[in-house]
Amino acid sequence: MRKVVLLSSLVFCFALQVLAQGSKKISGKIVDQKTKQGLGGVTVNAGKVNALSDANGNYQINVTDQKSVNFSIIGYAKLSRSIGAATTINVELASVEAVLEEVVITGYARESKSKFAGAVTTISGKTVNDVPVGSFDQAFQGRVPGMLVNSGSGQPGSSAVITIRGIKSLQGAGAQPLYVLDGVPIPAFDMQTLNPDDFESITVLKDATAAAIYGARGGTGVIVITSKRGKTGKNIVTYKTQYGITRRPNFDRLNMMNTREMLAYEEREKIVNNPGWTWSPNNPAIPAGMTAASKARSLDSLRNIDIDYADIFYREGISKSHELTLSGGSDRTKFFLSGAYFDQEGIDIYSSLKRYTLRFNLDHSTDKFTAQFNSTLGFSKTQQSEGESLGNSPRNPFQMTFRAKTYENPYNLDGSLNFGANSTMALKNVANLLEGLQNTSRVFDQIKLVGNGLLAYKILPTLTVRNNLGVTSSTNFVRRYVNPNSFIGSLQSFQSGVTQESGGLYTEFINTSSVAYSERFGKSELEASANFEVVRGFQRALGFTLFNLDKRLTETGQGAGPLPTNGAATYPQNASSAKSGFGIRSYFATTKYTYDNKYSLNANIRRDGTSRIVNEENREVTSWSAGFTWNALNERFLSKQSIFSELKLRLSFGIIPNIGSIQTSSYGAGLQSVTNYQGPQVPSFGTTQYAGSTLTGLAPTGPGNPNLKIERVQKSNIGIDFSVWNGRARFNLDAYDEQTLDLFVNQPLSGTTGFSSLYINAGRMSNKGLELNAKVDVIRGRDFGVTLGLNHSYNKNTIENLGAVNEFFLGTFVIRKGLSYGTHYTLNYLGVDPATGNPRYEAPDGSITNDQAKAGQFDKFGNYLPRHQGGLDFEIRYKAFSISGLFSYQFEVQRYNNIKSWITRGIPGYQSAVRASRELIDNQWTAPGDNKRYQRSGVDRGFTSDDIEDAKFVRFRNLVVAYQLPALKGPNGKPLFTGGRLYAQGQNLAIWSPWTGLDPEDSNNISLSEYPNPSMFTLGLDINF
Amino acid sequence: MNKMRKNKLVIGSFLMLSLFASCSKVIDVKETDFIGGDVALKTVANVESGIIGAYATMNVEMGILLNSVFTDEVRVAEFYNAATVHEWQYGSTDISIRDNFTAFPMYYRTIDRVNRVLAALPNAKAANATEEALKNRIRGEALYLRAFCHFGLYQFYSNTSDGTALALAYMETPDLLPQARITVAPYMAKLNADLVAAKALVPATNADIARASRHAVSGLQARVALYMKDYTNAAAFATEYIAAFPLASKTNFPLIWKDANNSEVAFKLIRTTTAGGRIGTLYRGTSANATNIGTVTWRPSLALLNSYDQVNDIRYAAYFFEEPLLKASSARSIAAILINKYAGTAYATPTELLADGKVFRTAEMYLIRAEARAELNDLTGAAADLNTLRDARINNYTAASFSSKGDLITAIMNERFKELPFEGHRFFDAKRRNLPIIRLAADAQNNKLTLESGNFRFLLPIPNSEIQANPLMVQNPGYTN
Repeated sequence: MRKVVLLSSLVFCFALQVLAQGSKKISGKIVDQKTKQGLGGVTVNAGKVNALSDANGNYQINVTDQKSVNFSIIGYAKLSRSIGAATTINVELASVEAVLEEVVITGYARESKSKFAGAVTTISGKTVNDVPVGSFDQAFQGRVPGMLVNSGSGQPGSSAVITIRGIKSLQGAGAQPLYVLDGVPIPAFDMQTLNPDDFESITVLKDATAAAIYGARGGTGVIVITSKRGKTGKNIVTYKTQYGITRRPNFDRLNMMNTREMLAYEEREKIVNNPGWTWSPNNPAIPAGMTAASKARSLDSLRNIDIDYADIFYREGISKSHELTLSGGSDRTKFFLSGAYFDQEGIDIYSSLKRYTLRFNLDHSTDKFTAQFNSTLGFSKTQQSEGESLGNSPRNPFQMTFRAKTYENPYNLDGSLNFGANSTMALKNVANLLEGLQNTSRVFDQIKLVGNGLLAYKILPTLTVRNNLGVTSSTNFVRRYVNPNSFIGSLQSFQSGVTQESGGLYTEFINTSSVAYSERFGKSELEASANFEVVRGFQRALGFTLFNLDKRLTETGQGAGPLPTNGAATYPQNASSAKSGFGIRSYFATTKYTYDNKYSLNANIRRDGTSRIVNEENREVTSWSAGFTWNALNERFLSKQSIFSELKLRLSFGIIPNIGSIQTSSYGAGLQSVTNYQGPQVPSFGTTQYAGSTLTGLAPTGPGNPNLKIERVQKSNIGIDFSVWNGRARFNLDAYDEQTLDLFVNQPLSGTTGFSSLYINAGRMSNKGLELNAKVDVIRGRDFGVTLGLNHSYNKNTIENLGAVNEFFLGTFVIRKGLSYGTHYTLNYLGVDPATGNPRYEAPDGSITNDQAKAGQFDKFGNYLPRHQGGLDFEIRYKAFSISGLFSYQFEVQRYNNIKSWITRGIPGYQSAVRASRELIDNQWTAPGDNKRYQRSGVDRGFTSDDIEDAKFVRFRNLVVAYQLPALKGPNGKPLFTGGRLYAQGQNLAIWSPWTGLDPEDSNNISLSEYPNPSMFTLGLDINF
Repeated sequence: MNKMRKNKLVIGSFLMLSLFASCSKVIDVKETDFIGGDVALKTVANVESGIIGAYATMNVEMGILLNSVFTDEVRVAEFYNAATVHEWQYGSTDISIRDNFTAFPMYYRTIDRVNRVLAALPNAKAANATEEALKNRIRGEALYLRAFCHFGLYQFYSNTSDGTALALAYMETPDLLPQARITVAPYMAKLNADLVAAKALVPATNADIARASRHAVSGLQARVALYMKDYTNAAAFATEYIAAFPLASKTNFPLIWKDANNSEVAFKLIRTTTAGGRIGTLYRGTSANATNIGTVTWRPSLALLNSYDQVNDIRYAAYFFEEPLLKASSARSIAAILINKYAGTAYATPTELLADGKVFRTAEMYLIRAEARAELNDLTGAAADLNTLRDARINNYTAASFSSKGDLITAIMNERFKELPFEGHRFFDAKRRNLPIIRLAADAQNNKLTLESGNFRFLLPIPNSEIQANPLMVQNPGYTN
């Protein structure tokens, strides 16, 4: 306050001075456009004169011959008013968030929303800024209509799988959207070294008009991210911190047996080589070396062990972060600087992510010249969970959560682990697992750099040239080390540990040069640009494996001993290296014509040439789009209405190829790989042996595809944006039809070719859907506000045509004309025959059969990709308090619950290897006449429709309770800080679902040994200085 | 200011120009690390690896099993699930299940491999004269294997001397497009041309018995000529073979089947447990230990066992043995007589049931020449060949004489039954001579005694997957899909 007084008095003195020169005083009030609250601390500037508004937003300033007065403050859009004869100028400043809604950032340009025909969704950086997840894409779930975001792993730093408007390709089904950060494409699935708190906005480009400008890389949609920039005004220093915990899901959902129940079950089903039956008093057999009494004793001692291993395999992880940002700038030069530290322990005992990031963004502009420099540099260290790479293994803690027998005692009397050879009668699985994890580490180190420099020069008022040069680069070191001085180390080749290490450098450059033209003729506005772009990617990696490690050391392969050759003439190499790269050269042009602010036509065309297509005839591909918007409210006949405050119609159509449809393979380089972009397009060879020769044979393994073309996605979109109730209720509706043309289908080949099948361009697939985005300010008061948001999307995928192919199988799916991608295809389990206890299935003709070989496979069990999904968010604020939250949901989705299939299998083979479900106790057939769900233990029912479950869910994804801190003065009267925010946050707080497994959400069709998604609770504090 | 702007423009346009200039290269970034495409078969050594890759898929096993299971060579023993083929009940959709009699992709896979070798050969630069010679040899081997596999296809799907009947597509280059069947005459013309070319290029001797040599070519030429009823050539080519490889002595004969010697054999496919696998498992499984003998799937038919002079004919002991352990077991005595031809070493030893695939033997050449001579009405010569062979196999044999061509042919066919069982001839022989398959009642399953001569099932159906994949494909008569 003292500062303000001081400043005000200075201004006053200054004002007195200029008053003498024929000046006048202008005063007024500055309020927030949305809340109508007065805004303090706004810089009011007229020529060389500056003033600040007081806490209530009132200001006054003396001007002489200045023509205009400018208002600026961090977080709000700058505003300029001409003075004229006025002496009172009241203004409303729009917060940047509100401004974001008016502008669409396509990455190449900032488009005025009212003139843009594309289907886009912009979300504020706030959505990802404070969410305590290592990879920001995880925070997108439920935020963007049409964008499906599913997390398949709870490993800190792992990415979500994102699908925009449905799966576009069979061969490239997993193709991710293109991510662009400040004009630089960045790789998907590799976000752990970026600080999401640096992000200002995220724009999802969905239709042809929005994404065609990205050409062949935009076929599956584009996610455009901009980072935070400095703003004119005084420097702001902000410190942010969070502290919290990550917690494992509740495994009680699996409803598994305890020791007493398990022993009783083993006895009931007489499961051989399991203690419940082998040592049962009802079992007349006495094992060798035992007596009836010692049998009873053994069983008794087991009976008292009842350990829930989930408590041992998981932990409550600590999560913490610190960040310091400094930003500010003058009219011409602005800067933003941040440094952050993020540290999260996973719920898996040995997994964690540590991240250190720096960002420096600089803007400089004069009337004609603009320069922009953005850069981020980060280092991250990920301790990866060994379990994720183990899959089906008793060493995988995520599986042993439901496999470990509660009666296993992993410890010796002295507390050490009782590891060694495992058998069902002398279990050592848990001890082996723990010993293995303790002595194995898997570390992923990454240095990541993303930067760009942009220069723009206005040659003429209507003509601007621009060049943007960007680079993204990751240096990765991956290491897996098994301690030679351990039991697991002794199980490795050469019996003394193993280390696999790998280093890789992945770099991509982009340069975009453009000329932009913009002019107004009467009521017409014309904008056009011509662009030239080059992208060049480089990958290089190497890896090696060292065995026979030095038992004195515990970290790397230093001191590894020589390896015996066992008399072999040659010895295999334990090291590999590879490099690859690609280039894209593109020309593109955009144009936009607007008439009278009512009608806009958008069109763009782009020609990409890419080295990723080997066939030179198909190497150049074209993307194009045309769009139209109609701002209805600018029509005279609607000028009188008062229902709508916005009404806009959008239409767009175009074709965008999908580079992700082209199959790539990879070169192994130890624990990393290098993409082989062209391999699958040319004949490939592998080695083979003929016993009649000492030479190694070379045989073709793939025919290549000399006629390969890229898949193209034809996108149509119709959208309407409107708001009612004085802009308090805002809606966007979109309907789309996306047709994938030249779809790769797995065409069987004639035997004369020497191969069985080949993906050829012969099919067509469609995605049709509806999207709704609604935001309503239910209460919009000065002190109290409630905003509710809903976004919902529906997508129906259809395989329209498979060319000459009838159908084929892909994993657990059937690919058949008329069905959706991801349709489950399996046996229809019809429960148990009460007389025999045998499983029953539906035969192809609809009759019931007890013979699995005669059962039919059916496609009526749904699809692993949800047809409906969305999110419901709310924000409630009262004075300085606010509560905001997000519920995300998905429905019409079915997935394989493979865990349940295992724990309810009810046959000796499975029973010996899992901690079974309680359902088997009273829902398994034991005697003729039983009407039960599961078959008798003497026969297997297999993997059937019974294992497919409804995976719909509503998830309480995020909740933030916050308090805006007021400015605080120290005891000496100096301000300690100018404001801040104190908040508590919960992530994945609850889930409601009929799914009986751990988590219905997953990035694939089967749930078996995933790292479960944790829930998180953090406390956060932001302080501004 | 003006000058500065000019400078900026100059620098700017220079930058742009240099960018454009480097850009044509950008879309031509080559995959440098990939051993595929033209790179894979670049040197002469690579091409030789390519031909070894073709040998790796060479197969006699499918033909051996087919000619046993479809005929009266074997009868069911302890395990039976091959009803569709053994009882002649197959169609184009299920010929691939059970014992997988889909020769179509199998032979064409080898053909594709050799065609890739032939395509790469001209570009592989020979470093010296040795490599130049090696290139010629590889070319000869490739042509030979191509002819060999096309003949295999012909045996399965065409097997007629009628030049206007349908054979298959004769593949001379790697090609992904669907191919139509061509008729027998041009098919055989291409096949014979390949053999003639190969004969001049492959090694003159069979020092490397695992790979093609001149006499392997003669052997195949004799066989091809016999099938095409070109008896003069059949006799001539058989003579070439016989001149180089006399019949085995009575001592050596049984050892052929233990791979202890290579008497009579010009070319064989070497088998190990890891490369190629155990031929003997066609008829029975490997044993768990010396007393727990593997499951016997097929045992020799009574018709076959009864056809020998079991005392004097050395073939009986070389081809069969009675297992006392099985005979003693009441549960398994059904399988007491086992096939010895591919038995390999003792039960449960590492090379149990392991044996090389003998592609040609002199005995077959004698029988080819005998048949050819008989057909050419050289009854004396034919009888002499037959008696020479019998004399080599039967102790105390007295030469037989034959009164008519018909008797002689019957005797020759009967001798083929006894000499060449489990070597892949019986079913094909019946087809080419238009004979029926007749089983003894005791050998038959479900009373499937006879496949009458001329039955459409003497040709295998083109696999349904091929009909689906290839719009130009024509199914063999009698099969509906």
